[in-house]
Amino acid sequence: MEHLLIEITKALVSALFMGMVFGLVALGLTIIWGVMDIVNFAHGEFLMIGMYAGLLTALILKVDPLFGLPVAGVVGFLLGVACYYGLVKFLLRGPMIAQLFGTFGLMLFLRNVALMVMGADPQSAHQGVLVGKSFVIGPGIVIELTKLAAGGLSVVAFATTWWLMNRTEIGRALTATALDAQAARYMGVPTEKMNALAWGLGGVTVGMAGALLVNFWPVDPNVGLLFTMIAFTTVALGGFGSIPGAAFAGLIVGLVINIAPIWDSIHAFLGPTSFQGGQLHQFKYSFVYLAYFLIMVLRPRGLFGWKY
Amino acid sequence: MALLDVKGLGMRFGGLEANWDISFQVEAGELVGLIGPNGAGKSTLFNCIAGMHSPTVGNIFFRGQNVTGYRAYEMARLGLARTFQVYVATGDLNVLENVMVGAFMRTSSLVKARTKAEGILENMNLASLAQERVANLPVAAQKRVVMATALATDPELLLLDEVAAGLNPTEMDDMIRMIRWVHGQLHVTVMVVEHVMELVMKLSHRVLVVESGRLIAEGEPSDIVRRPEVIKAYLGERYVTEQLGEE
Amino acid sequence: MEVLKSAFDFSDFPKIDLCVAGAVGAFLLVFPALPHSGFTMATMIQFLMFSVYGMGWNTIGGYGGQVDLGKAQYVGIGAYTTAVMMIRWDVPFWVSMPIGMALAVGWSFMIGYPLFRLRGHYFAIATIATSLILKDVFESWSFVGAARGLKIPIKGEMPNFLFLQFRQDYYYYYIILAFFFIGLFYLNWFRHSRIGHQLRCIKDSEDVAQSLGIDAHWAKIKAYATATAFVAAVGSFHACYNFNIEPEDVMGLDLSVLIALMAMLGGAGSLFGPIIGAAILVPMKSFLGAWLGARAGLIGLDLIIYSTIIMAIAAFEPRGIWGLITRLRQARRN
Repeated sequence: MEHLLIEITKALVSALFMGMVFGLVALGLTIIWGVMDIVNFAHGEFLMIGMYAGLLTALILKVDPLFGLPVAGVVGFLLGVACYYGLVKFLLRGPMIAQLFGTFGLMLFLRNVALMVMGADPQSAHQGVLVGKSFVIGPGIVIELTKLAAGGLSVVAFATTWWLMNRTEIGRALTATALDAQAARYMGVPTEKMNALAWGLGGVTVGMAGALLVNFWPVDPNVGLLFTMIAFTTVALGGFGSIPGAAFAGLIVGLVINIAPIWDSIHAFLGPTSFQGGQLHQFKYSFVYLAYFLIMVLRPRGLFGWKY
Repeated sequence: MALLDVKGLGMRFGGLEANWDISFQVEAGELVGLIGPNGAGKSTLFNCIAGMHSPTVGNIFFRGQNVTGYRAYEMARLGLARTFQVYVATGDLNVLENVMVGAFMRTSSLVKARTKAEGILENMNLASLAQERVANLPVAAQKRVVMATALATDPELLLLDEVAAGLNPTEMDDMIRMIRWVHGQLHVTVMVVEHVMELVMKLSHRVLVVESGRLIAEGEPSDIVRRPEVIKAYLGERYVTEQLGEE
Repeated sequence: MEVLKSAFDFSDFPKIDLCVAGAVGAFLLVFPALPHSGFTMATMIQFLMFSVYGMGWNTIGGYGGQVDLGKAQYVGIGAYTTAVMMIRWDVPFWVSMPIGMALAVGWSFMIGYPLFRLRGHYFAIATIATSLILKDVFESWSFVGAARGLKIPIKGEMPNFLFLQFRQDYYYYYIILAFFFIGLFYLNWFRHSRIGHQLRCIKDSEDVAQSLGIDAHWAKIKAYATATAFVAAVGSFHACYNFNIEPEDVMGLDLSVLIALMAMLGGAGSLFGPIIGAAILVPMKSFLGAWLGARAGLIGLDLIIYSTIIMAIAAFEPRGIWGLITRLRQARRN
C-alpha cells in the first residue's frame, strides 16, 4: 500500500513539473492567438526546433544542456519573426481557410526539413549537470532534477511574460492590438510590428520550453504534432488568450497525460483483472485529444478565456 | 388574432438591459415602422423577433403560436422573413442562386426553385443581373437582391432592417415603390426598422417609437412626430419646450 | 428524372472546359489499352482513388467551408469493415462495402452532432483529435489486428469479382474508374441541388442562411456524412487492392492531410478542383518517391515540396488552381 502511494505521489510530482512545461509551451500559442486571432498549426514544430537547438548546443559546444536555453530562445524568436514576415503576413489577408492551410503547410515544411537534416531517430541529452540526477524527498519520493529545473524555469518564464504583457509599454501595446487592432492603429501603435513581435514572443517561449523539455523527453522530427495537440488542448482549457489560463491548464494537462500510468499502477496493484484492450497507457495521448474535444464542445471559453 | 403579438419582451445582455417591457401587435396587412434614436434597442428587438436571440423575459406570438425562443430558421419556416443590413458576400453564389436558396425553403425541386427565383427577379427588375456576383453590384441593387431572396421564402411577415441606408433620393423612391409593391401586390405584412425618417413616414400606417429600450409611443406617423416624448427622445428636453412654447 | 438531368448538367462551364474534360474522360477510359508500365498504372489508380477522396472531402470542406482534417478515420472504417468481413466471414466486397459505408456514416453522424458546434480552426483541430483517437483505438484492438493490421488472404481463383481480387491491375483500374465517374456525376447533382445551394449559402453567411429557413447545423452534418460515404467506399476498395491494411496507412493523419491538401490545391468548392489537385500531387508523389527511393538522405523532400506549394497557395490564391483559372478569366473579361 505504501509502495502504491509512493508511486502515485512520484507520478503526480512528475506530472506537475511536466505540466509547468506544457503551460510554457501553450503560452506562446495563446499569445499569438490573443494578439492576432491566428492559430499556429506549426507550434509543435517550433517546439521541436527549440528542442533540437537546445540539444545541439549542448552536443556541439560540449556544454551543459541548460546553456541551450538562451540559444533555443533566440532561435525561437528569429523563427517566429521570420515566419511572420515570410508567410503569416500574407495569410492575414486571406480567408480563414488560407490561414489554416498556410500554417499547416508550414508545419509539414518544418517537420520534413528536420527529417531531412536530423534524421528520424529520437535523440536526447545524455549528460549534463542535471541529467539523470535526482533527489529524494521523504520516504522515497524521487524528484528528477531535470524536471525540477524545467518546472522552476517555466515559472520564471511565465512570470517574466506576465510582467512584460502587463507592466511594460510594449506589453500594453500588444494587448491593445489584441483587443482591437484598428483602434490600436489609430492610437499610433505599429500593429504590423506588434504582430511580428507576438510571433517572436511566441517563438521565444516555445523555443525555451523545447530546450527545457529535451532534458527529459527525447526529440525526433515527429514530436511536433503531439505537442501541437497538447498545446491546443491546454490553450482551449485555459481559455484562448489567457496567460494565467495557460499556466493552470498546463498543470491539468500534465496530470491528464500521466493519469494513465497512475491508473496502471493502481491497476497493477489491485491485481490483474480482465481489462480487455491492453494497457491504458497506450491511450494517454488519446486522453488529451478527447479532452480537447470535450472542452471545445462543452465549454469553449475554457476556464479563463476572454475571447472565443 | 394579430399576426405578430409581442408581450412584455425584455432582453438583457450580461449587465445591459437592451429591451424592457415592450408590448405591441402587428395585424396582418399592416405596414408598420419602428424608429428610435441610435442605441435605442431597435436592432435588439428586431433580432429577438427574428429568432436570433431568445428574449430573457416576455413572449412572442406569431399567428397565434407561441414562438418565444424559436431559432431563426424556425421563424423563417413559419413565415417570418428578414433582411440583413450588411451583406457579407464572399462571392460564391450569384444573384439567381441567392434567390434560389430562399426558394428552396419551400421546395426541394431544382426546377421549381429556379422558376420561382427567375420570376421574382423578373418582377424586381433584376433579371439582367441574374448571373452577377452579388458582391460586385452597387448597393441599391444588392438591397434588391436581399429583398428578393427574403421574398422567395413566401413570407407572411417581412422585417426590413434599415433598407434605406446609403441610398440616394432616386434609389430611395425606388425602394419605397418596391416596398409598396411587396405590401400591396404580394400581400406581405411589412415591418420596417429605420433611421431614415422619409421612408418610414411615407410608407407606414403606424409607427412604433423605441427609446432606451422601451416603447415610448405608438400611432400614426403625422401624430407621432408631434408627441413631446418623441421629440425629446431625438432632440432632447430643450427642443420640447421650444416646440411647445412656439405653439 | 430531374435528378438525373441535373447530374449530367454541365452547362455552366465554358465550352472549352467541357472539351478538356471530355478529352480527359476519353483518355481515362482507354488508358489501359495504351502502352504503360506497371508503375504508371499504379499511379493512375492512386490518382483515381485520391480524386474520389477529394471529391468527397469537397462536400464539407469545399462547398461546406469547414476544413476537415480527419477524413482518414472513415477510410479506415471502410477498409477494416471490408477486410474483417472478408477474412472472418467470407463476405463479398459488394456486401461489405455498403456495410462499411453505413458504419462510417453512422459514426460520422454521432461525432458530427457535437463536432459542428465548432467552426474554423477549432473545428479542424477537433477533426484531427477524433481521428487520432480512433486510430489509437484500432492500434490497440486485437480484433482488427492492432498495430500490425490485417492481411487479406487470396480467396481462390483470380479474377475474382466477388471479392475484388485480381492479378492484373486493369480490373482494379476500371472498378475505381467507375467509382470516379459515379462520384463525379453525384457531385454535379449535389452542387445543383437544394443541399448544395444551402451549403454554399451557409459558407457565405450562416446568419443569412438561418434567416432563410436553413438549419445550418444539420445541413453541415449531412454534408459531412456524404463526404464520409465517399471516402469509406474507396477505403473498402483500398483494402482489396492492397491485400493488406494497417492503421498507420489507412487511418493516419498523413492520409487525412493529403486528401484535404489535394482538394485545396486544385480548388476546394469547385467541381473539378479535387481532380486537378490529385492529378498534380499524386504523380508528383509517385515519381518523387521513386526517384528519391534511391537517395535515402532526401526523405521527406516530396512533402517539403508540397508544403511549399501549399504555403504559396494559401498566401496568394487560397481558392487553389481552379480559383486562379477563374480569376484570370474574369480579369480577361474585364
